[in-house]
Amino acid sequence: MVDSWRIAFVLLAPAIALLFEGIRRRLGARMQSRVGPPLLQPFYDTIKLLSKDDFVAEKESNIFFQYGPFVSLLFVWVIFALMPFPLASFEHDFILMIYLIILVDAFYIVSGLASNSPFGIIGAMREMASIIAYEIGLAVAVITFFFYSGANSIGEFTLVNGFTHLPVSSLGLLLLGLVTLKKRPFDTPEAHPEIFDGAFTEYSGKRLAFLRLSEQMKEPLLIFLTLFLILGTSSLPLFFAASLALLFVYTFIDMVSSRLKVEHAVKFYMVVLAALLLELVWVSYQVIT
Amino acid sequence: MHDFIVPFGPQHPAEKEPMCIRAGLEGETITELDLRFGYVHRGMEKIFEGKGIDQGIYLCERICGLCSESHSMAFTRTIEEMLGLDVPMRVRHLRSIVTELSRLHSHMIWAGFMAHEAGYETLFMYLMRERERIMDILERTTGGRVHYGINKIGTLRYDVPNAKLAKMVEDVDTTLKNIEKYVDTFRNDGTLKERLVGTGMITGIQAKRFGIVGPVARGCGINNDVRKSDPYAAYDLADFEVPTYKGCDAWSRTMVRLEELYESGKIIRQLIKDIPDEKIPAFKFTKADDGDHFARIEAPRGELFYYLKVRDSKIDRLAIRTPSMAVLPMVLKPALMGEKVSDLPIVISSLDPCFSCMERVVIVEKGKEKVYTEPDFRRKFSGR
Repeated sequence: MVDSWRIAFVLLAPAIALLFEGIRRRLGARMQSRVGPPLLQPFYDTIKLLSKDDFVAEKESNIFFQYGPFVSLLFVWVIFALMPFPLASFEHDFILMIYLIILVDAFYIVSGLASNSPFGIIGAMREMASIIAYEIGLAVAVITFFFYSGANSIGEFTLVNGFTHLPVSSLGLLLLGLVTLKKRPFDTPEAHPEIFDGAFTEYSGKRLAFLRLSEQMKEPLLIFLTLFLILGTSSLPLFFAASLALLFVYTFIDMVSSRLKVEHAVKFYMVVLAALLLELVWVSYQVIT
Repeated sequence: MHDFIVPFGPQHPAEKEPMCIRAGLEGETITELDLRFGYVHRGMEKIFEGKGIDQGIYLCERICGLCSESHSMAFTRTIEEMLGLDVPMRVRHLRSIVTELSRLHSHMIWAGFMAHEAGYETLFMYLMRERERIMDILERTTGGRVHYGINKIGTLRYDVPNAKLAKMVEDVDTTLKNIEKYVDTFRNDGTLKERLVGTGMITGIQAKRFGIVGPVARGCGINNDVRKSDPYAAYDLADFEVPTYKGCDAWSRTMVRLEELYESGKIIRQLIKDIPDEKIPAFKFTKADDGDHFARIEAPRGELFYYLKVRDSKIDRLAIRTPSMAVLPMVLKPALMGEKVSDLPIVISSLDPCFSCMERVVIVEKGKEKVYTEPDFRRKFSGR
């Protein structure tokens, strides 16, 4: 029987994401010497967007534009059921988790391409390029951790303080968070002065709410995934305190750097990927011998 | 050939004023450009016609928000040289000081936007915070934050007491000390340099050929500053340098403008120290003989040129060439062609365009208004 608090955690995942977003915006504002919005502003924004009328322009009335955001949100919500406090666990479910994370971004791209706007298309193209930069690295890092710990599923994963055992993969995961969450210097898919909001540009109402929520839910998701792997969930207060600290670090880096081009991101993360692969080879050698 | 066309503007977050650039893209590379101006055309030059000379000074301040003081300086210089007026030294000093203050705030807002286009929003917020102190000084001394209205023909509207000037030096020093960190960030920050160095190249030969002016030219190694070459107001009494860089890219233009901030500070300090204690003359309505004259001054964006023709003591014709007009239509294309679309906001911003200043050219043919694009305009009027 699953603990009821775990079910509550999964059901409240969007609320957690919006709270994280509120904290992020507030932190960012303080770093820029602004007052910033109220902590609950993302909740108000989402509720307002959900209450808007449904409208789709004729040229955008394709199935991907209409349902892409919803599917994207669905996928990201499902990942919360797998990790970090799994409701159900089965063999090699971490592979499914990696696929779902990739699918969330895939639907972001599809939503952008389907939106019949040059800004959406450029945003989607940039996201495609940055996917090359981070998704393989993310998969390699996750597999390295599971390989090292010998766990077959997320439920069995009990490695505590993994960063002392696998320093390179831990650092790699922390760095990958920057580009996966589209933080500066790697926020090219949503570079506001260049292409408005990228894939979001043509969206409005409920679809915008879903698409934004799925992007906002990736933030706690990636932070929880990173900490689940490098810290472990044995101490819950430590886990949540560390997640807020990581949010602070990401926001800080976001605020003190300017935007690089997408090719810089790809070049940088190729180096990260090489380091991650080296550690995977080292771990395989250790496990086999 | 292009894959698709991206419209930048008329409303776009990278542009603070309306203009339209339709960029044909191949992947992310700009291969075609169609420039469309004329969205803020207000017919200013027409409005001047038939106005009294003293009225013109208020109207010309309204041409631009950021360099309103420069426009009224240029206008007063033109008319004073035309009338052969001997302007008292205190008036000249105060005019120079207010112009330099407006250069300070114009360059600071520009540096903020530059950081914003490069994605460095924190720097933008900090620079705007520091700029507020300059705006406060201007409000204290002239009574206005945007339009100062301090100039009159041959005199000032009112004197500025010496106590206020002492406080002004203090505040300018504080501001320049505070922004040192931000200037260092522009100079040394890795991500920012990665974006700015080598972006939006305008070669020195192109700069000479197009006759571009101001910080853009000085970023190409061309030392042209009207304050040095054709001194006006009290600039011949001040000792200052004209910073030039030879990089020809967005970073050089940035550094030129940022170093100009310190030179402006130097000018303000010197002029306030040497300001003579004399009574400024009372304002008299201006009567002028028929005739024409031209004069130029150095606005924050470069050389500002005024041509004035007077008939019956009224303005018969006023032609203005603003620095943006001299720079933007010429160099946008060579600077943008072949760049990545992500560099477009940076290149536009590094040229510091001011469309309100610029857009006074609309051709009316048979009662129909027609706004020419740059290629059409050239083909039709310059025979190229």
